[in-house]
Amino acid sequence: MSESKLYGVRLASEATAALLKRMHSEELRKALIPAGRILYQGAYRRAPYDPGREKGTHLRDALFVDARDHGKGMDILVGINHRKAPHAHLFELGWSRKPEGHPFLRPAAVEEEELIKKAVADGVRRVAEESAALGDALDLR
Amino acid sequence: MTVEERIQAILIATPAVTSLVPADRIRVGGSWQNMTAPYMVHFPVAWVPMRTHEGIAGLQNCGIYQLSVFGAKYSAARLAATQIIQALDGHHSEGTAIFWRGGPRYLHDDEVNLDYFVLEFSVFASLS
Repeated sequence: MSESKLYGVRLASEATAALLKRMHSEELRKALIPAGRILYQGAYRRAPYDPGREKGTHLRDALFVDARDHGKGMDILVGINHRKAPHAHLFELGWSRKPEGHPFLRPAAVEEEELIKKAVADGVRRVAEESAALGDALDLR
Repeated sequence: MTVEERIQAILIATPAVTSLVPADRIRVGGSWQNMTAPYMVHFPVAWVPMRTHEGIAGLQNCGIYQLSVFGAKYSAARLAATQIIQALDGHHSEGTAIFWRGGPRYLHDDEVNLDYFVLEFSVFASLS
């Protein structure tokens, strides 16, 4: 009868748990913000802008980007402050007088998708690598 | 033939759609605010570049193609939206493939008291 032993399971488990913990951390939030900023900047560039406007908020100035942990993981949120730009959805989706509207958020999401995915992957990889380095420092391996 | 022309051709050739929205009120993007409801307007929103190592792919991909259907009543616009989805979703012919990707999203235009639905499709078409 042969017998085999697997060493390091406990340490691997601890390292994985540490990594998962970091996936809900402030580090990951900071790491994902650049991905959100790509979408934010893409929407900002595409948003309608009237240089002659003197009152109120330009639609592009009502855009915001945020990353929050909602318990199941980190979400990146790019959107419009509806109080500042209550008609933003009409520009995005159109209305009877101008059915085409002036879409700015969806084109940004579609056309910048590859860059956004890469930024998310880079952010997660960076956190994972830092977690691995921390594991080395604590001699978890 | 452009993607817009292909979509137009499919819609006006579908009796289930034209029985609800007359063919002359199915338009590509433009200023159509004086049209009588029901009417619909369709146009591309976002394009996805298609590239290969050999150069530009012989395929154009409209990541989001929007179709807005306006009606005097919610129910009329909603029914038309359903028929449009049935006409376009899964359509595959002459180098064009269409997939329903979002909506119907309901909106109301207070100014002219019209109900409308926004539909989104993805369109893949060969360059010709």
